[in-house]
Amino acid sequence: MQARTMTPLNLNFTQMKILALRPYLMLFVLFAGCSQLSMGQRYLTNKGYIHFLSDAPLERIEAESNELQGILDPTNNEFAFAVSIRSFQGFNSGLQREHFNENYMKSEEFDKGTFIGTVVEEVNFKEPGTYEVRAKGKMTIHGISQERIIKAQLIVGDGWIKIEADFTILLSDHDISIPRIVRQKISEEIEVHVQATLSKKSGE
Amino acid sequence: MNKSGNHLFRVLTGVLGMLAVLLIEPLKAQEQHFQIHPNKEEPFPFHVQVIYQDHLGYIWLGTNDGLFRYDGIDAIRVLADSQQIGDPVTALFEDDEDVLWVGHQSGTLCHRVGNGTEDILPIPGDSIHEPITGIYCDSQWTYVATYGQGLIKFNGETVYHYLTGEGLPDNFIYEILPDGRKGLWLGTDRGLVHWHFQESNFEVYTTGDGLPDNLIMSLHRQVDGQLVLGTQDGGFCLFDPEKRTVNVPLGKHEWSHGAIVEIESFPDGTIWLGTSGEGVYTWNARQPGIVAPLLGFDKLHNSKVYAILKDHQENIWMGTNMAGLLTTNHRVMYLSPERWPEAGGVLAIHADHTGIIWYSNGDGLYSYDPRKPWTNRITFHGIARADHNELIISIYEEDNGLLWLGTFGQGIYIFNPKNGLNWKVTEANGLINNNVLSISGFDNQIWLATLGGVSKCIVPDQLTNPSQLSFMNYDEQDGLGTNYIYEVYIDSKHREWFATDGKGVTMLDNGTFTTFDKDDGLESEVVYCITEDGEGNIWICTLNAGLYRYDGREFVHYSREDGLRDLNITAMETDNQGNLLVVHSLGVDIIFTETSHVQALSKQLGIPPMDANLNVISKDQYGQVWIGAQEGILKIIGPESNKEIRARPIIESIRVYLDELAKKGQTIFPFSHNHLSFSYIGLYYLDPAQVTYQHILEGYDIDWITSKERISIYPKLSPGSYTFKVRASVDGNFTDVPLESFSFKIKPPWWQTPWFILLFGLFLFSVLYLYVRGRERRLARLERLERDKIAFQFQTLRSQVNPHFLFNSFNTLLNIIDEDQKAASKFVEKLSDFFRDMLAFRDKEVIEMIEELRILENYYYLQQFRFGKSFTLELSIPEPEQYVIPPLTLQLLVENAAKHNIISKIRPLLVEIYVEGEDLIVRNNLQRKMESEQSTRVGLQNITTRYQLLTERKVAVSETKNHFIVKLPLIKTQS
Repeated sequence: MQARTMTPLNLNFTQMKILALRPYLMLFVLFAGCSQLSMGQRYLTNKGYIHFLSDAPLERIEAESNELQGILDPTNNEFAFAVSIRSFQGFNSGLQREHFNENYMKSEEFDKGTFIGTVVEEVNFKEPGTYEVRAKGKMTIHGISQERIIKAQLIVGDGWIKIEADFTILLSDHDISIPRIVRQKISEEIEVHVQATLSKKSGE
Repeated sequence: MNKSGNHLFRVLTGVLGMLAVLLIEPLKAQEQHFQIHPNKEEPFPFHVQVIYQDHLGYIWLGTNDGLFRYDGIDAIRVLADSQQIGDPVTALFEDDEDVLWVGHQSGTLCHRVGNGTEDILPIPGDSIHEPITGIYCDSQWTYVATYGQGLIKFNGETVYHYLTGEGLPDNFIYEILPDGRKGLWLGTDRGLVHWHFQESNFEVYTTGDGLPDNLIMSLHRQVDGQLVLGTQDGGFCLFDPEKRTVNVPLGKHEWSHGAIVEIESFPDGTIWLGTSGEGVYTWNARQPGIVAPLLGFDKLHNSKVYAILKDHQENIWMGTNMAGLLTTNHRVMYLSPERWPEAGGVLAIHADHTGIIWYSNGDGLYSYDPRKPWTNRITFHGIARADHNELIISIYEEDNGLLWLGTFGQGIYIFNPKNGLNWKVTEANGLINNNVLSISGFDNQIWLATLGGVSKCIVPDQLTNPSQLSFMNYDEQDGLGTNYIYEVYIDSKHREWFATDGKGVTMLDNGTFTTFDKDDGLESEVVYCITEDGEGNIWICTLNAGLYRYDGREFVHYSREDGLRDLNITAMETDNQGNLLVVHSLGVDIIFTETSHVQALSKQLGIPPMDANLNVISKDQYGQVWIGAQEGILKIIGPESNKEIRARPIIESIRVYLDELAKKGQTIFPFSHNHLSFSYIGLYYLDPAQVTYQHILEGYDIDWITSKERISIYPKLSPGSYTFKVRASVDGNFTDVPLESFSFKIKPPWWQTPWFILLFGLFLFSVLYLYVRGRERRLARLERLERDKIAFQFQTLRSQVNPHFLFNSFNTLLNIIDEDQKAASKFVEKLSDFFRDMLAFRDKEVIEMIEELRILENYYYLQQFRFGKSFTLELSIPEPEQYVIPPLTLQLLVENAAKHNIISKIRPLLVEIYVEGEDLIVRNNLQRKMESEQSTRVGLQNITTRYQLLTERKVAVSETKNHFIVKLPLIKTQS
């Protein structure tokens, strides 16, 4: 991933601004990489909802973000989703969030979680309705990519698509190692819930 | 509640709490036994994503961190070029030339030959950066399937790249499977695809053709040729590649265990389905509606299964994300009382004709129905009550489906499984004894072995009341030997065999009892069980003396030396290959009746040491053998082959001192490199520690050396030819086991090399030859000189003849020329004849006697003119044609006689020539002239010398008062 090479440590204000834009830019870059974009057709969002839950025997940790970005091209079923790891809020304490970012996710180095691929099933995006589909692609977290097929529900409306999906992420799949001492507090399987409405207008 | 009540309550809760803790403990011994590799203490640290077995038997592990070769003991990382280390391996394939192809997640393709390192093989013309998911090679092409970049077909010159544009329905290929002819099956996101190489078209099968899902994530071919397809969301289906029909046994919505990413199958119709997060599920065509999880290893249940492989020794390998690298097997299923408490303490077992397993323990009668969902397979049938001391110790199903249950002391129960009704039949009904140890039968005949003899019962077609039964009883008086009978066995010829307690084995054939005991070679006469193998031999097992095989003529003993681990066998049965399964306290042994090799089924297969009652064994209609013991119930499926599993030895490395052989093919070593060591292995993944080796260095060792070591070292070998041989055995029996050998030579030092010896010998020989040759030449020259001299002399001698004769002849001619011109002309004519003969014979060493006589005759004629009747020649040589003579000899002698003697009318000269013995005598009367003409004796000397060259017999010259005699040896014609 291109983002991996940039490791801003001492940030000034302008850099912060660029950084804030970067996820968005990156999404386009990623997406452009896998298809020719037909500009008028695509569905977008940059405020999708993502929530995760770690349900360990001794502790339950939850966090969420409303900064999920998504793009879907109905002409070829291709999609890309990305979320900034540091946008997750919640946790049981601030310290926990810091550990999450610094120790486990290394979010300075790997600042994005992404999922890029295609929708397997044929969907008639002109026909409003509910579709059960499978989204297949590469999920990259903590710098490690995994091929995933994730069941999702698409509700196609007039000029918008609502996407909802539940899936799990195995920490070991992404080389996220948990110290033995906190194994009873952090689940190996993280349950993720995603909900986003993408619309034809640019994703405000 | 008083104080003591409280106390009791606390104790009770404490005990219950402990029990709860015990229950939380993970259950270990369960239905399936798993081995963790390399061992439990240090499981394999990487995710094994591909498992492949090469032609030698090595297991190759393609992991998320590169490639490893595993021999059951060590996993050795195979080093590729530096950039391949850590590149996940996604595909492995060995081609017909034993080249291993390695496909990586990065799209890099490597191949390796033998023990060499990997070479990166760039796929010509294309940049592949997506994972390689399949590799296949035929005689001309290499086919590479990718996950995202379609299919590539290439050889040294040409590349074809097939993408969605070129008819391929999808660029994401999960798995490929050669169709066995000229094509590949492909599992893609858009269905099952058949690609025919020649025709280059892609046939696509999708949900429209009946597939439960379009995402075909795994492909597998069963032994019958049917394909099994695993899908992402629709479970699995069977696909007939001939008819192109789909069979979805479960129905799409009955599968709820996620994507099926790996498949393995077995000859009995069992299919194992590896899922992407729920472990392995099994399915069998006998119960098409049921899938059951593979139980026995808790971590597997929520594992992603990356790879499943059945190796050549019937171990099933699994690469998983949570449970690591595992092996298990399809052959042993174990119902452990730890998981199934009601399966413990088994006293009797019987598989009925429908496949239901009936067994009894202290609680009574149970049935185990493999056709039911796995959670409720065991049913209790409240018959024979423990509180009545009614222990069922034998079970038999007769033709009508009724179960005959023999008890200890309470007779039998006849139980109808259909309605649960039962009758009790005892001694009161005519049964010989109430302790029924064994029941067997055929058609409507039932035989019951008891502690009081045996009962035979003929069952009526419609059995409605136990009073219909009548028993015919036999005891020791009738020929049984003893009344304690452990087992009645009915063989394929419908002969009844009885295992007696102390009187050997008794056979009943057509009403006649025959007993086999010590006199027939049975060391122990306490016989526990009897069975018949696939070849019709009867096997019996005895107390403490092992097994005997009876082939109709004699009893052959099988004991520890033959590989049996324990002599106290409690049950026997043959498997569906005709091999013998024997149960003893250490587990189960399979005796391969064809080769007499033994395979031990032990803890590595999940078989516990067993405390089993006698004859608690039964074979079901599929040939699966069920064994009951105190420790639960075992199901054993015989090996897929009737041959024992062999650990074929491989010589892994040959070292000279400490250096690995540089050249693989090197077989000749200089004399200074005479310290050789050989490392070898016999691959036996089930239990590597069980392999024993024997090795011999022919030319050095006198006999095989038995060892568990995997290395043999030979220091200071003297020059010569050697063959190193190694063989491996799993059961310690080395007859007819596979062997590997390496022949080599230690070269002698240069002064001992054959070349040197040959050259040195040649040199010596040449010197000797030259010496001898020179000597011979010298001698030959001398000899030639001698000969030349003799020839010269001879020549000279001969030439001497002419002047004498001419002189005399011309004198004679001078005398007669005036007297008688006519006579003179005749004289000249004779003289010319004479000289013509002389010319003709001059150069010869010998001439025919006849020719000599002709010359003599001519000469005599000529002399007659000179001497008239005063000179007489008398010739008497019988058969002159058989002799030869040096030319002019006689002529010369006659001439000499004429020359040296007076010849006158008064004193005529008579020359006589005659044969005497082997000599020719020339004799004349001696009347020597006084003024003898130059008597140099040259002429006589000539003759003597000439004869010396021709014969060893001497020419003798003698003189008497009246005669001069020359004795010439007669020389016979060489015919």
